[in-house]
Amino acid sequence: MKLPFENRGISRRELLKGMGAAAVGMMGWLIARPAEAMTAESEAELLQIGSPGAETLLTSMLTVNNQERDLLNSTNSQSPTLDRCLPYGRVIWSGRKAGSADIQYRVLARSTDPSGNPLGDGWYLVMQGTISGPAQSWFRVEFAQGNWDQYRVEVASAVSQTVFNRIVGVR
Amino acid sequence: MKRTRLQIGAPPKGRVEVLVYSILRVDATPRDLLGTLGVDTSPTLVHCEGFRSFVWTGRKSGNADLLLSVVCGNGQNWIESFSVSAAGSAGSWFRVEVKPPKIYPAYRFIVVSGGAQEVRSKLIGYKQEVF
Repeated sequence: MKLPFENRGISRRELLKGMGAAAVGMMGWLIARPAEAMTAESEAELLQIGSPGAETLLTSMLTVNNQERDLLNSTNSQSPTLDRCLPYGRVIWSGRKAGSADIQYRVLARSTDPSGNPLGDGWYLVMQGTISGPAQSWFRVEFAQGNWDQYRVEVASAVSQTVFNRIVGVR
Repeated sequence: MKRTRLQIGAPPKGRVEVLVYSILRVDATPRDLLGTLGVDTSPTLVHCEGFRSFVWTGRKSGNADLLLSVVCGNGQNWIESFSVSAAGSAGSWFRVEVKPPKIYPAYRFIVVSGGAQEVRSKLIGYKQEVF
């Protein structure tokens, strides 16, 4: 005997899997795909709802000018932008720049002791570069190295502009 | 010398694990990351079958290069070894990738430096191929 949902091409196993992934996601899936059989593609969508692969580590809105500062607006060169990042093998910074001027950036990193204190002053230079693009354009920068404990992301622009930032970490 | 072997009592759980944290005075005398002297003595790490590669990061107080020799084996017999170096001025940070030719149960990480200096470092292990 078939249960009502099985008439939609969904097996009991698939339904249980979807419920486990996320109740909200399952409701959305049922609404969006009432008469479709579950495919590998739709299953992947469900799994993503239940276990996102990336975690947001920072969001910020910043006015960038010719003075180097980090994405948290700190001009203290010893202050980390991100802390406790060891689990993240990939760190991806994306955002949107309001002006047309280039943005110079440096990604710095360092390790910490078991108490979370840096092993020493200063930083290791992971990468540096320039973000170019017209006003209101988007950008994406993936850090060249992951699994550092702390990162400092410094930016500067010859012409003052607002920059919207988001950094995600992928384990 | 302050050193902590975090591996003992804390079995690996994630993709990357902190294995050794050490503050070490290094010079031309070979010593491992835990401070023990000699080349062919006790392992720095044991039960490493789950780790495919390592990254050694830290900060050096002197100008002399650091030479890290990695001796691989089963804890009783050492089978092969290789070396990597970390250069940089006094007060600089370094990052060294360590990829053994194959997976071994035990490793001895030996550090030497042409000039005496303090090295604060951390060794992490990867359970997957990362480089």
